[in-house]
Amino acid sequence: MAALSLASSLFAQKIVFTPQWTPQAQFSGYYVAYEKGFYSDEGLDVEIRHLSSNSTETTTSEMMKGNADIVGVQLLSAMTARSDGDKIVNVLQLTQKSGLCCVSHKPISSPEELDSLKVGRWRAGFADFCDVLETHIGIKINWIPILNTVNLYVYNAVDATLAFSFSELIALELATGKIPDDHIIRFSNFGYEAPEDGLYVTEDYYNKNKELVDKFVRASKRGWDYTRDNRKEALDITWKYIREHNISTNREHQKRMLDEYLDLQVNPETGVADYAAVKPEVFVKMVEALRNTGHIVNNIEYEDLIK
Amino acid sequence: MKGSQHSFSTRLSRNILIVTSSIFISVLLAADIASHIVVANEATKAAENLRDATIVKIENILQKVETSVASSAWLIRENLDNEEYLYHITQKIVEENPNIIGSAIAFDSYYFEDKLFFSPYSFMDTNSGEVQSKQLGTLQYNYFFMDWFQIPYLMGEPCWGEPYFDDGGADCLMSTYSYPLKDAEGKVFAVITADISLEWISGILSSIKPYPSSRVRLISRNGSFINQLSDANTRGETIFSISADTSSKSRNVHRLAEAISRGETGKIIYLKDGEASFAVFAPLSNGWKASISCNYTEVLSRTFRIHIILFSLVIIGLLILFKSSYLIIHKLTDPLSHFTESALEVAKGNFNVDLPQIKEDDEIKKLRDSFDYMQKSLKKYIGDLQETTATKERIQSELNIANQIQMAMLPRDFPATDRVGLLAMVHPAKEVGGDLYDFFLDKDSLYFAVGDVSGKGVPASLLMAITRASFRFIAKMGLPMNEVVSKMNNALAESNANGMFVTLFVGKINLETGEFKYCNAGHNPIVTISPDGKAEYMKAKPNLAAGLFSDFPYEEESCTLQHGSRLVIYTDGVTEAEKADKTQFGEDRLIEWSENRCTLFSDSGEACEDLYSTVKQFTDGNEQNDDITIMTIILR
Repeated sequence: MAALSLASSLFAQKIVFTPQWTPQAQFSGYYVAYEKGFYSDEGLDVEIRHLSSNSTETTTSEMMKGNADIVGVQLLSAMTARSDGDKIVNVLQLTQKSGLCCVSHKPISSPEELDSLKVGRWRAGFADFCDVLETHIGIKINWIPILNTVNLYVYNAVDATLAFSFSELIALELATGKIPDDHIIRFSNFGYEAPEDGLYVTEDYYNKNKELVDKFVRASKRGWDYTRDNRKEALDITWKYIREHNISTNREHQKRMLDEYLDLQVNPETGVADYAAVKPEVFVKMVEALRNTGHIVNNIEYEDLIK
Repeated sequence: MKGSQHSFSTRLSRNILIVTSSIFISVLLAADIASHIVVANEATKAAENLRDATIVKIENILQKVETSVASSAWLIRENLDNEEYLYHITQKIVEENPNIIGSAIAFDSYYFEDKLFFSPYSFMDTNSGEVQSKQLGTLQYNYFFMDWFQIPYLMGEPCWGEPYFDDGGADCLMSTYSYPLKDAEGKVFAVITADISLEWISGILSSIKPYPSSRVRLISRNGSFINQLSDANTRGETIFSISADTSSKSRNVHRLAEAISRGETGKIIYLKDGEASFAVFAPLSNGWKASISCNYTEVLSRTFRIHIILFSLVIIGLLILFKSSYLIIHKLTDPLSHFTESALEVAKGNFNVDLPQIKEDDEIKKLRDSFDYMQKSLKKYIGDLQETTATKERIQSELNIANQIQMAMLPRDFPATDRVGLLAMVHPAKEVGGDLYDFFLDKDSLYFAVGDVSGKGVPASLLMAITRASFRFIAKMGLPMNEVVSKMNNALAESNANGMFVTLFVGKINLETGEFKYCNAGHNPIVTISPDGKAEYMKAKPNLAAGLFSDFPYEEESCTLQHGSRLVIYTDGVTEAEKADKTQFGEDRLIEWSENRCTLFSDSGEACEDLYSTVKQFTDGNEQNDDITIMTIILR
């Protein structure tokens, strides 16, 4: 057995995977796949290589530089990158609906009410979304770029802030207490159908290592399926990574994050987490919106990006 | 008896112990609750004082920083055209305030022409111990997106930034005070900052320890625990992350978190992991909050120790009380045991037994006196009783003799010839009775009499004896039956001072011819049974009972009896025999017996016995209250 194991590791194919952010429950399925040996079962030697917390790089740029084979990217960013010439392809669409929401200090019922308000948004990324939003509903928002904390909202420096339901929204609630439901709008309830997280590789890598990519995707799905059925164990595994990287967070945050993130993976049409690819009509609408706001110049085809 | 005496003492002592214990325990419990309330209130007050003192201590230091920065504002405004002096100002801020380890004046983008970033910054170099200066803003360090710049910039108000643990160089807990500078139009054009080390906060907070496991927390505006930020394992926790426990062993934890978060001042009792605690909390002027939580187990542990001691003392006291009350009660009730022994002696008949002397004039002495009186009364009573009993025994003995004499007076040699059969019996209700019978044969004639003297007992028996003697004497004169009765009546009436009388049935049967002459003196009608078995009461004039009035004109009557006829002569003791329910045997039952039973017997004796047993059977054991006399005659 030892010899077999040695042989297996000798012949295992190396893959570097970089998720979008530092360790958190958003990536539990990958940690579980690694720790439970699902990648090894596929004959893969996977290294999960996180971005450093103060990195200014994106996962796409890391991959394009050759520092990662497979990365996690949000669909919107991937489309912009593809349009900008980064030949990347989507090999797995993980979330099936958008977790993007807006949290206000006052009751809010629609995005139109954000007109003229100071609204926090991430300094890096999502400028495209913000433009699409403003253009789509015809309002002008005073966007306040923020780094990665929720402090501007907590200190009342902004009227509202963008947040992901599985991340910032939970952080805000753990900082200030339960936020009333009528202070939150989820953009998915207002026609914003673009799902976020997926796995991406370069087109070149995909063409040369299709089988390898399939193995990684298969093992990753297995990891997420296991996570869904064994949340406490998955959380324990995730917590190990969080501690190793000295991330400042708490288990309650990670627990709620995992629950919410697994919920985002459920396909609203089928009611199960089926890892369905983004629908072509949604893709086309997104491309059109991005082109109208000038965020992509070059046209991108569904078949080019979605594999 | 000694054991039983002890048992009384023990029982009484035990009851006293139970009542006393109940009272003591109730008082102890009440005292326990009261002292818990007092101690808990005192602990709350102490914790509140500590909290307030801590807040004042922290705010004093923070205010010095705030004053230092604010007082530099006018100097900056005066020297906006002198970049070098702006560096100097930051340097002075650091040098003059030991709490400040770095200070910057961060200008808005392009406030100075061609300068995207301009931020003179001075800091205490821990290596050299000297204040160093540099320009802070770079593309890599874009302070426009830093909280310390962005928040006061957007708010237009000074603020204390979120404390953080700087593990990139300073290696200490830090916070930044930011003060916005506004132009004439109110637009923020620069932000003055002061970085301070918060290590002293840990010193202040760790010195506060009302109880070993008390938690003193300083909470930032985003819910972080400032004094835990230096610990990598706990720095991520927030007030709401630790209060997320919704198990049944936790209560009020989330309410506490919300109250603290809202900046309320107060106290909340909560349960976490089954442990009851209270927390006192209040906000600081900069939006931070201070909270002190104390575990009730610890708070009350001192009173618990006192209560254990108190409880032990009470237990010891109760045991002493039990023992001493037992001894006292035993001593007080000791004479009772002597009384018991004396009572036993008295019961044995020894009325001269000595009683214990009681000195105290109390209930025991009264009991002793009563006992003494009872002893003397008993002695007299028993003496009287003995005398009475002896008298009674003597009378009983005499009565027995009288009975024997009376019974001996009655003839026993009943005729049993081929012409007549006769048998009679008397059953007195008392030792001696007033009933009588007599008979004798004179040639062919059978003389007989049955009588019942009024009253019972000795007087009746004396009159019975006279009656019986006079009948035998007078009847033998060969006079008609009415004259026999008249003479007996006169003889009895002469010496009858007490008004006594006797009913009599006197008859003479010619055994040859069956002629039956008789005279009734107020007696029950006799039963005749014809040879064919028909029974009836014989018609006879009742006349008057003998002995009441002299010379009463009695009449003789006669009839002829057929051979085979039977006569049943009796006294009212037969027909008036009663059951317990007062039902009498009655004349009908006598007729019924005469027809159905009497004829069964050819012997008079058997017939008499059967009637007597029938009457006894009827009365079913009820006490006989009158003399019973039965005489049966069978003419053959």
